[in-house]
Amino acid sequence: MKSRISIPGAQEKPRRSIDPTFYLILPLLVLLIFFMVVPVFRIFALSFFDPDFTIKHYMKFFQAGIYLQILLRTLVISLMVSVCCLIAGYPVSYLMADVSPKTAKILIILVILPLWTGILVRTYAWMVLLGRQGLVNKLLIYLDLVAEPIKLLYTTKAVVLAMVQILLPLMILPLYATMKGIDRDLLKASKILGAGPLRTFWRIFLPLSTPGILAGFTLVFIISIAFFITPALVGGRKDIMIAMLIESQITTLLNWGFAAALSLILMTMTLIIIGLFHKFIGINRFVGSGDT
Amino acid sequence: MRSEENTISGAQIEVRSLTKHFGPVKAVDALSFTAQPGSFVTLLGPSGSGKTTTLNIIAGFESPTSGEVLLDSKPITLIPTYKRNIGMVFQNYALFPHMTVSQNVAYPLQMRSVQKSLIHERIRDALQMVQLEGFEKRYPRQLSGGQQQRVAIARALVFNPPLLLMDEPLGALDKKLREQMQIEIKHIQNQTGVTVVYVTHDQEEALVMSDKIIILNHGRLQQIGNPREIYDQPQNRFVADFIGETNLFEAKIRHENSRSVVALHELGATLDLPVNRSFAAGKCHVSIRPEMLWLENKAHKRSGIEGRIEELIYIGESTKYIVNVRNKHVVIRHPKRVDRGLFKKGDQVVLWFNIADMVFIDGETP
Repeated sequence: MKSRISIPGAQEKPRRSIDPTFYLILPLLVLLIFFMVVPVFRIFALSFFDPDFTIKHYMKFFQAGIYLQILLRTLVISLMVSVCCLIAGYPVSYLMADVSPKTAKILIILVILPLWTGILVRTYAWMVLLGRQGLVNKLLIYLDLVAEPIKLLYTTKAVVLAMVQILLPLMILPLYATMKGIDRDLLKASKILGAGPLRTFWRIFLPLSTPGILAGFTLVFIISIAFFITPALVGGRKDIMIAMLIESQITTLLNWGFAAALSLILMTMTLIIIGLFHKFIGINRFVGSGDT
Repeated sequence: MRSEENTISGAQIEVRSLTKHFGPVKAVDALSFTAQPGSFVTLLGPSGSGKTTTLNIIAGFESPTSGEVLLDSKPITLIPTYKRNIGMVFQNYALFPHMTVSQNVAYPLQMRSVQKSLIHERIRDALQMVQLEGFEKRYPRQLSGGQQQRVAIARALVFNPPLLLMDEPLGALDKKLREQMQIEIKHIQNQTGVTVVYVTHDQEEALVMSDKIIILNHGRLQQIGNPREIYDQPQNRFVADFIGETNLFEAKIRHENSRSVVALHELGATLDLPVNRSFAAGKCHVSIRPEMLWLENKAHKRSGIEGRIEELIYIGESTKYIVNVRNKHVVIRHPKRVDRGLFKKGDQVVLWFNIADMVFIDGETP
């Protein structure tokens, strides 16, 4: 209680004390410094010193075409996964934001339920489904759509399909959150001003849902880029993603320096793409609609 | 100013036995009214009275359970919202946050495929009408509440609709600004000639702005009339109580010989009624407005309805007294001109009013 008594003059001293709210982020900050910032610098050092300063790992990456190809392939698969997630997730989110709160609750549970199952389990499930003797092939044969079992497993399509299924909730949740926040009166206003349902969607709803699109797309894309288990298990020989390459450099070849270089290249590429994406869509136009 | 080209011929709107059920709740119950072309009609009632539901049905956001809405004698109930050609101002303005002021105002014109060169001109005229020139490039979030309100009005009128719906448009503004906007909206309405259906729960706002007031409670029509009729001749206890402030007394009228008398047992008074009007004998209610009553010091007057001042509230332009008469509170309002601060809390006083200022309310309508 004594601290509440203010003495004139005493307050003139500039306050040096740290804002107490700072302590709330302290645990996370410590965690991030030791398990994120420090390792990143370690990897940075690993890629440039072997043991003296060298750029040979980076030279190797850019000279042998195969590595660039793998990087490109990783980006293409990630992009396909993100686009498919968006196409599949947008209507679901729209529905969730539109139905009664009770139904929405059930739908949300259905969306996040798969998140409680391990990625490995879900990937194995896809192997069972897509194999030569798998359920999908059996069904196709039973329906007389194909004569022989077709190759589904160990293809790029299988990789994309499985990854979309695994990552879809991460697209739906931010989309849903954004759509839920769109003022329904804006849609009413659009209609009374003469716009039909389709034009109301294109001119009002879609632009206002872009922050959600951006968030979901970014989330799915970043996680896709570093995906490892699923492409390794359901992909073909061509479907090597960069995370698999890094893993083999470390566990099989023990080439830590090259693995570190690959990791940094991957991180840089990701940051550049996300940066371009945000600049392109222009998220700043939509944030802070309340106060000036 | 190109006011001649801006003139809108307002439409007649007729609502015929409109009913809307939400499950077991009757939000609107057999409501009928007509708004003449160019008139300002207000739907007034407390929250949950069905006024917004009625507006939503006229706009086409809800479909009625039964009944009809006719715009210039043509039924519109089955026409989708976007083809109705009605302007609307929403409570929270509903400006598109990702569009500038001029893009917002252009929106209804683009939906009607108006030529680009004309759009520019019409935006300018509409913004001029609401005195917002120079704000074209601003986004809604960069405007104050009052300015957003003006943009909403400009956007609702830029395509010259014959009918304008307003859903508590001034609810979010402070008192001063609200009073200013009331006058401005009336001005714009007179200028354009648009028919307005206005929804509010603010009885003062309704009195100030309306040509005709429709009072609703629990989805049912209570009274239709112009502001003076609504205030001076409330038809039931709900209207008397909801519009302004009033004192309601239980009363009993009986005939004695050739004259009629009314007994106000709560006040312990029996009064002769004027002979030039006829009164039905029986129980009823009497409403007397606070400003129609006045006080006298008991020392000066020996007869009359006696009471004691329990509260004295100084409002500035008037003083409000709450007087205890036989344990019933009676509210009295003295305008500044007659009140010289002579009364104190606890004073014994005598209550006076003109018999002509009693409003008789029949029936037991809740």
